[in-house]
Amino acid sequence: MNYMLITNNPLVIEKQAVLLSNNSSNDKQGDNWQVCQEFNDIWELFSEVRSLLQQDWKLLTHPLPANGGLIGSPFRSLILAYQKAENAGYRTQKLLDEAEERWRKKYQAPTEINNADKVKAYQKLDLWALESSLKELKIFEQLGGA
Amino acid sequence: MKLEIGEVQIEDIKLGEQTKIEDGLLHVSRAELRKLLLEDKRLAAVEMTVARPGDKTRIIPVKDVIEPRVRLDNEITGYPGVTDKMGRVGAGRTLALKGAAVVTTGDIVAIQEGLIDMWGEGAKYTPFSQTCNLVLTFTPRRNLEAHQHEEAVREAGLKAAEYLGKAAENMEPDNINTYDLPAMNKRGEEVEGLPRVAYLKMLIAQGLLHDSYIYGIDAKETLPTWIHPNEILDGALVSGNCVAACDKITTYQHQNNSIILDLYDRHGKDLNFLGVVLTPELTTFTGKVRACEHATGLIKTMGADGVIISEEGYGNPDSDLLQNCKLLEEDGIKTVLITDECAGNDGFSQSLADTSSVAKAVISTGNVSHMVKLDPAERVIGNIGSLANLAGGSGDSFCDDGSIVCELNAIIGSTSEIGYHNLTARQY
Repeated sequence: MNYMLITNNPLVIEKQAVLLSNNSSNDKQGDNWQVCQEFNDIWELFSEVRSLLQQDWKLLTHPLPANGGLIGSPFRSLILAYQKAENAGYRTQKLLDEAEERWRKKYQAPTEINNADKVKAYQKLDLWALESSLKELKIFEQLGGA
Repeated sequence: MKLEIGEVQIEDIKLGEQTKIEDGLLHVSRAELRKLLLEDKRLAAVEMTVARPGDKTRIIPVKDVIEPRVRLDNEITGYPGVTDKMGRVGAGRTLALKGAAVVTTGDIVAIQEGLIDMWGEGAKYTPFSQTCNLVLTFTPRRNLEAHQHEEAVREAGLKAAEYLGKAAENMEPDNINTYDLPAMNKRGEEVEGLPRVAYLKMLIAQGLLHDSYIYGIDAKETLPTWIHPNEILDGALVSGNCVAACDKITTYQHQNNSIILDLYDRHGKDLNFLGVVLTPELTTFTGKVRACEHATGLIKTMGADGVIISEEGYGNPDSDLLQNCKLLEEDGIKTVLITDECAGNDGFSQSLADTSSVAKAVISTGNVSHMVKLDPAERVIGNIGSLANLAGGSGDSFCDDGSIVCELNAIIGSTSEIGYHNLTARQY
């Protein structure tokens, strides 16, 4: 299975090797991780996800966080899988639209946040949510070629 | 399973030498409580302050709120799996110090939680302006990670509530409420022919600082589970959620879950209350499918005619809420959804991040983005500067006259999705 971690979070980028090696199954063949991390801002990240959804990639993680504290976060890490011939893209496309709309209203660019602690907090909370997602996917054996 | 919750009314709290209750006054031994709480080596210091209803006091940023209680007739006096050994709760007698609360504070993470105003406009929006609060402000040891800090403060708050609750151990309660929901096969004529109603309670379970604990077990590690409502009322559920003030369900709100209490009120009158299913709100679509399928599968197996579903948080949990609704409605089981709205400052944006045409009975507990102006406080417990970072606040929240402007997002419990809050809807 081909997976993609798409992120603009410097903390996730720094820890990606550990994150992905801890969350891949060695005894199943064929897992292939790509990391997409070259974004100037979250809008470019959304644009890339939108494009991938048109190319038979499917979102495995929900594009929205679970509360208002994070809706304005400038950092996001999402996981996608390549699953041709599935019609799962349409629904996640709608959710992505909604996520983008909500970010548009609340978004703060890192340069606009005049508090380094807040930037770090956003990065950590995004990292922890990603770790939780990877763990969920591993439990469900969605990672590891299932 | 029969639970009696005896209410010991508390009118005020006073810090002093000895912990005891006299004529509605809860005296707290500052030294004894400090010693107990600082046994946890992750915590370096604790400051104790009393905030009373009507005081021009603002508490910020709040971590959790807990009702002080003591469990009698059970060797587990604390929170099973968290501050005490494992075992089942929900039967016997528990005494609750009504009118009192433990409020934990301290900067854990920059975008943490929210505020409680004890007076004025802000007090209208949070139920914790009406309790006499023992506010515990913790300073952690150096180099403690945010999630370790959160865990230490979470446990310390529970320990403090348990410690205060023990002051009532030998008291006669002012009032006793009995919650008796027998096993399905032991129910008699009183429920015959009545609609069978279950409660599906969704819990934040999204990673560090976004977690809930069932008997100490991280909810995201569990399958949805049936649980007796008495267990929830008696301390089986603990909040580990730290980043969403308005609609996070504090431990206090779990202990006083309004939906459970209302279902109890109507059990045997116009419905047959089947119990509660707890389900985690996970981050992945596969996780959401698993949780929704299992939770609704349990409810179908229970033979429910109708279900009340409450959400925690908003954003991606809206997808769980609607999926649960769809899976039940498609099987002919009626649903009522309870959620708050993220509808923009003007209230005109789409309220939920996900929708379904089968969701026809939806109760709104308020718009998280509604703006409020709060008067200057005479006393701030905590750090008012944190308002600039937390959800619903910003650097522009501070007015020249000392008042603040923020969204309901920033006020603890203001849009609680289990209904333990002050907002209501009126037609106009």
